[in-house]
Amino acid sequence: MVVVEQTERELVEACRHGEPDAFRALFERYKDKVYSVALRYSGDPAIAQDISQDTFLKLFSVIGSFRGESGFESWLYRLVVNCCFDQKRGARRLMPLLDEFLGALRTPERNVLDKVLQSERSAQVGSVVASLPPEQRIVIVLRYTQGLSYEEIAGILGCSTGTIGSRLNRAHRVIARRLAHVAGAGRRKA
Amino acid sequence: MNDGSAHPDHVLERELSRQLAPVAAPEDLWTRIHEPRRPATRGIPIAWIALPATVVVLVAFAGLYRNAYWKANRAHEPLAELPPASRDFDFRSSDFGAIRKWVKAESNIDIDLPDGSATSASPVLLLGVRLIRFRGSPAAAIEYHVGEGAATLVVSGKQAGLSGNTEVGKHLFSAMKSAGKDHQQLLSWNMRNQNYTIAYSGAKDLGGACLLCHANTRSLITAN
Repeated sequence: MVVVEQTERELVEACRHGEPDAFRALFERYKDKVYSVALRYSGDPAIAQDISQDTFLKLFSVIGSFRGESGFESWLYRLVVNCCFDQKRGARRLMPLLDEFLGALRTPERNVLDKVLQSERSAQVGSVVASLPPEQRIVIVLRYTQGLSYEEIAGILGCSTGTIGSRLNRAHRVIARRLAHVAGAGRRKA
Repeated sequence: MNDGSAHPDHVLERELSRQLAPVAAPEDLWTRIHEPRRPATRGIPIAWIALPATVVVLVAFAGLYRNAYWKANRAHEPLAELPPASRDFDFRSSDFGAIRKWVKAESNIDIDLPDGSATSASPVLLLGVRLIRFRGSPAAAIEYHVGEGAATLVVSGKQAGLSGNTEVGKHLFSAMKSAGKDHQQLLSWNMRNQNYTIAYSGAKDLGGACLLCHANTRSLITAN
């Protein structure tokens, strides 16, 4: 079977012409990135699915307006970010973190303690990140989940690299302080 | 990392990269997108949702009924408001790009038609554009011929049109509102915060008027 890999430009163009297969191919190509940003931003798989759904529906409905002036991926990230910001902060739930923790307990592996510790740590970081103001949180997610540069993040959010650096710096300080607080509380309990 | 405040930034960055690493999307995400449907919120008894939902549905139905009644009674009104075919253009051109540029400069209305729209399609002959007021808002009325039929595309602000549809793409056409009066037919839809209305006097096929924008996508046109 000969698989012809479509370039991003070809895929986008095909989507603009309404080809259903192209929509599916574009989805397959970007679903993990979109979902990852949504999950790390919201801290909740159910909300992340809602955000991802909204993002792709929005993408498919407005792809005709994509002019190619910026890269497609940046444009897509802008859609995800907007969908993240549209989610109500009050809708965030911490239960999935507990689910994850219990899931690790149920994992039938020998080093279950490691899994639990790792899961707990992941839950702590997720919880601290989820408590950041949206504009700091999204910068953290784009930086550490997607590995984007300051310039790329600045392009997506429409602000200067200085602003991005400043938000990251503030977010780092808050995260470090809160994780230290959590770790300290854990040690006191122990 | 046991104590975040004691670690240099690069340790924190490494930790964040590890804990916030990308994840795979769930398998059923495409299904959700393909058949958009929100799952019921977990952890909330269905009865908590059912009663308010019933009230909302009843109110929505009442609103829709009222809206449909209103539209049904107003469906033909814009025909009278649309400008009659005229040769008195504010700007005469057969080049869509030139028309778009002129309209943008004169009225700040951006006529955002799809790429490949049609101006080069043989059955479409652009005549020119006039700036008018349509249902109380500034609007650009582009006149063109499609074969034997004459058509006017009116692009105006959000408040000016018939329908509230905001879909873009092929769904647009199935959701379009159409109304016929004598040999005139009307399409109206909202797109990107502007209202688009086409009045078409061709005897056969309303879809012909759509060739202005969709010369290559005629199969999508279902309204007739």
